[in-house]
Amino acid sequence: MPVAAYLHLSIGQIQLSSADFYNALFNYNDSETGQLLVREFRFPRLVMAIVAGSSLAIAGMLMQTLFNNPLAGPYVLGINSGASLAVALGTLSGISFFSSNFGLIGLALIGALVFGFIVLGFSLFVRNSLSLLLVGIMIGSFTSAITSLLQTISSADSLKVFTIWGMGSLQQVELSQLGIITLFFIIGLFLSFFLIKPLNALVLGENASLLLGIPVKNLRVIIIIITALLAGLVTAFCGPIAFVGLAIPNLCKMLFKTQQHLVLLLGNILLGALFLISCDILVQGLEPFILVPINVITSIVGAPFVIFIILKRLA
Amino acid sequence: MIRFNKAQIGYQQPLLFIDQMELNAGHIYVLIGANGKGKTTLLKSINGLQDLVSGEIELDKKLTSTLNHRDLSNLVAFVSSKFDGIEHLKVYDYIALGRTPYTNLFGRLSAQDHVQVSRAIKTLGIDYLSDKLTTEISDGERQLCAIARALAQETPIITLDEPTAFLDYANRVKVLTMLKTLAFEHQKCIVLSSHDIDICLEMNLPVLYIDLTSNQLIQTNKTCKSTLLQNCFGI
Amino acid sequence: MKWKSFSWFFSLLITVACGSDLNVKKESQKEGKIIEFAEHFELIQDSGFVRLHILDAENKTIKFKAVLAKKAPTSLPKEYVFIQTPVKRMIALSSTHIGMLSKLEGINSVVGVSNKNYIDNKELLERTKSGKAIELGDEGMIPMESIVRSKAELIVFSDFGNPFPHAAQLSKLGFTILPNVDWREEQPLGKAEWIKLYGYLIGKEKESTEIFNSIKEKYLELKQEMKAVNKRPSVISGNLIGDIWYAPNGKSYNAQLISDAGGEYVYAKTEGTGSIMRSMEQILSENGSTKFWINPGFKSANEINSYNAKLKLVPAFQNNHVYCYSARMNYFWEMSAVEPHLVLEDLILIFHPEKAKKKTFNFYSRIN
Repeated sequence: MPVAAYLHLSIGQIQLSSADFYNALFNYNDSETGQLLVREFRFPRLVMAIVAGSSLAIAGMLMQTLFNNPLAGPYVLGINSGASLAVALGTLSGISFFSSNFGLIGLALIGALVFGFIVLGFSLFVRNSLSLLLVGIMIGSFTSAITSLLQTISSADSLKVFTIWGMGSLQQVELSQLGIITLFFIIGLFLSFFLIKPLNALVLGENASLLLGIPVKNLRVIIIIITALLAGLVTAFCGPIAFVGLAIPNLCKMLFKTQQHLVLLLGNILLGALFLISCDILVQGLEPFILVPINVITSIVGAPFVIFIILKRLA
Repeated sequence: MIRFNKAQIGYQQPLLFIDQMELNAGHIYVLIGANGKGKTTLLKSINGLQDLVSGEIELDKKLTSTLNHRDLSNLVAFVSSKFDGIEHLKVYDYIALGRTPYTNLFGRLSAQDHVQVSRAIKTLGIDYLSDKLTTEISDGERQLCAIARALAQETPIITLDEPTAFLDYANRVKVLTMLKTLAFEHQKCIVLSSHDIDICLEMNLPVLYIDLTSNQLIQTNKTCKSTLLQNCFGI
Repeated sequence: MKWKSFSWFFSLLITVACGSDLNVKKESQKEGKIIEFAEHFELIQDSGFVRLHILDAENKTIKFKAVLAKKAPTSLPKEYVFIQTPVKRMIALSSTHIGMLSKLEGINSVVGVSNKNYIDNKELLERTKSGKAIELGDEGMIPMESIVRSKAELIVFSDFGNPFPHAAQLSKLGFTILPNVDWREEQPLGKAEWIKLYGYLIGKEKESTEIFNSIKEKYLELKQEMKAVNKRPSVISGNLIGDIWYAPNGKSYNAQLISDAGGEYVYAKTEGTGSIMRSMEQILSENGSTKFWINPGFKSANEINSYNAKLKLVPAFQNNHVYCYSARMNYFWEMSAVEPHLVLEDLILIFHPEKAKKKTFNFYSRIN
């Protein structure tokens, strides 16, 4: 069934195109307009939607289990803020190279890496995960403030580039970059599978996990690395994409009614990808009428859902 | 099973002293003392979560200072005073988490693991709870589940921190009786802290108490309530 | 709108044919409207003074009224500000302002600029170096004290809808703040006509009218020539920002230039104000046979490529028919508004090289 869902959705994307002369040309790679569009536009977009959706959902799941908090998302450690800050510095400096596709990706990656290390460093000194969560949130606030400052002193053009980056996009990725993206995605995914057992124990709390033989400190480090890798990857190539990482892990828990992380992991991979693909189908469908950034769709769907979770918890 | 050698228990400053003491398998020991005297810290030290200020503790002839968390998880299991239940987690699965030190890379339960879990459930008499969610049962029932999990962990030593604190009278008696039987029948060394002095004395459980003045941990098998209250609480 | 410009066009043909000198005297002395093409400002000759109206970008209501005269009139009409001419000290925050002043040889009246990195005019750069003109910073962030220090009489800023910061306090201090709405002009000659505003401000009314008329003549001549051309090559303008391609709409300034130069703008039929937006997919499917791509905003093909690899799929790019004014950006931003005939010459050179009289570019270059 998941396979069928995937296939269906990917074909659905092509059929939703505004013009009507595209056949299902997945396998041919000549340079006819229709095939060109599939190869250069649709296919990277689809792959990116799958990778981004899954990555963010997995990262969100890791964060929520680590901090035992359903409101934690992949950006809660402040890694995303690091990427934003780097992009802000680059675009607002006015040097045109930094506003290019390559420049933006490079900047975001560097920002995510640097902040990933900072957070990692903190995690080694901090006593428990709650403290780490607070540190992450503070880092996030701090970098946001600096980014705001940069925005006030920038020119209108640079500001526009930065703002648009902040709205997220699945379309900036190029065919040639898909190789690397998929590689790191698979690495992150692979590593996550090894975390299933420790994560299962972690729901009992950190002390209980320790007493069950789980090396909690090491676990924290690996979780941070995987989260930084996956969330950083997505932010680098797509800009910050909202709500997927927050809403999908919660949805999985509610749907599958389990704390067994094997199920949750697979669920998040699947649902994350499906969700983002669906949102992007909406974006594509609306194209003839209005051009909407992906974040708008994910937020419009995601925000009410998060409110729903909160209310349900209180009940 | 547990041996203390000139142990000073505490964080930076010692809270309590144990000169020489040995606790054996097949027995249950009740830790009694005034608040803040170091009961929880002592249990943490036995669990290996807290370093000693000085001295040694040996678990099954191995020094705690040389054991890593994996080794400790094979030797000691811990039950805290309250288990609030976890969303979406079934009782059986919760107890099965006690098998974590033995399961494979992905946490898959082997046939042997299932046997142990079932055994623990049977021993605690909580068959009827097996399929329920941990959030759906009562506090008392949850405590029993927590103990079952510790039992499923198949460790020679089990420590419990005020396991009866939130239970009603009937459940308190039930739990303490169960633990006493457990210790004997399964040859475990069980150490628990408690404020249920009356029940413990009635059941003739060995007592480890913290002397109010000397901060020494003293073992006694037969004592009367008034002496105990005098030495422990100064009343 | 089309009718208006046509009727003006015909009446102008007649007046031009009668000889320009005579008409200049007539226009500047007779009472009534001085402005022919511009739609966002008015100069009205009254007895003894000139009234200036600046019109709002969107709804064309009068948002600024001033009386220009050598001496303050005895009674100032209601809501009018008095500007004493000639203005000797101005803060010029728009590139177009600088360009127009340079044509009038009035750069020596500039005492404040925004950012010298955006200035091409050598005389003005000298003034900033010697301190005669102060660098004030980006429009949103100009400290009030800097303005006071400049001792300007008049501040001219590009009005995109937001009021000038600290406007109320600056007025109290005696500064006059003049909104520049030339950016909104859709007719190339309308935009160029703003030179008259500056001419009247700095006491060079006659010169500004002469210069404008000469430009007007040349422009209309070229336009008329291109009208006769039948084969019009297709042209796309604009570029991607993020995922969205922004192109001028069919009625805009750029669209008019393309059309006047004998090109066929692909989106000529679009309506509305502001840019039109397209996704990259739409751009590719709608511009499969578009011959020229102008104004991408980049200097080289490499830049275009690295900015976004999908841009190299545009056929006009693959055929090396991309042109832009990027070789001297600041120069273009300063001078193109007041010299639309030169822009037109460039576009004609691109679209119909066989018809161009001059074979070199004024502003544009091919992007390689």
